[in-house]
Amino acid sequence: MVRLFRVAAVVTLMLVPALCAAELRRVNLKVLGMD
Amino acid sequence: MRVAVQKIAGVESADVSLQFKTADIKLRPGNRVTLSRLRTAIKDSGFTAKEATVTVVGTIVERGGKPALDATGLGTVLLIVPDPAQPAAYDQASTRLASKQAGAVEIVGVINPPASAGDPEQIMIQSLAPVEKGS
Repeated sequence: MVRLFRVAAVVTLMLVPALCAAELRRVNLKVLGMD
Repeated sequence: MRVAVQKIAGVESADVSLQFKTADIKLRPGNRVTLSRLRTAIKDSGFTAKEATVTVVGTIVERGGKPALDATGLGTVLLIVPDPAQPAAYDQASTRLASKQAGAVEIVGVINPPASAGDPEQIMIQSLAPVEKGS
């Protein structure tokens, strides 16, 4: 059981940075209707 | 429109150019803003958002034997397609996929609105760079 928790903790620690790293940083949109 | 976009949590700044008919939006690190959310805010202000040039961070994954960008935080996987003017960036993505290189990458590319709801979003890749830890 302890081993299972350790594995889960390691997997979580590996996933968190990957999840946090996925993001938009800058967007330049062409916009219609600004005439 | 600028005010509506700036109200979205995670937006650092929004600059609207009447001359170029563009909205340039910078986002804070750790944000969860989606392109769809930005398009909706612009639409609700009475305008129509078309093609978007984006800088996005994610990981390269495989979709149908081709590279795609898993932007998990955005809740989507963007199919990567080559930009005929800059094919090297697509080759880089393919190489990373083939050699199973892990780690986040920062991609600059163009995303057009999906032709119909449910269509997979595509990013026409213009450049790719590995993300250094802590950046």
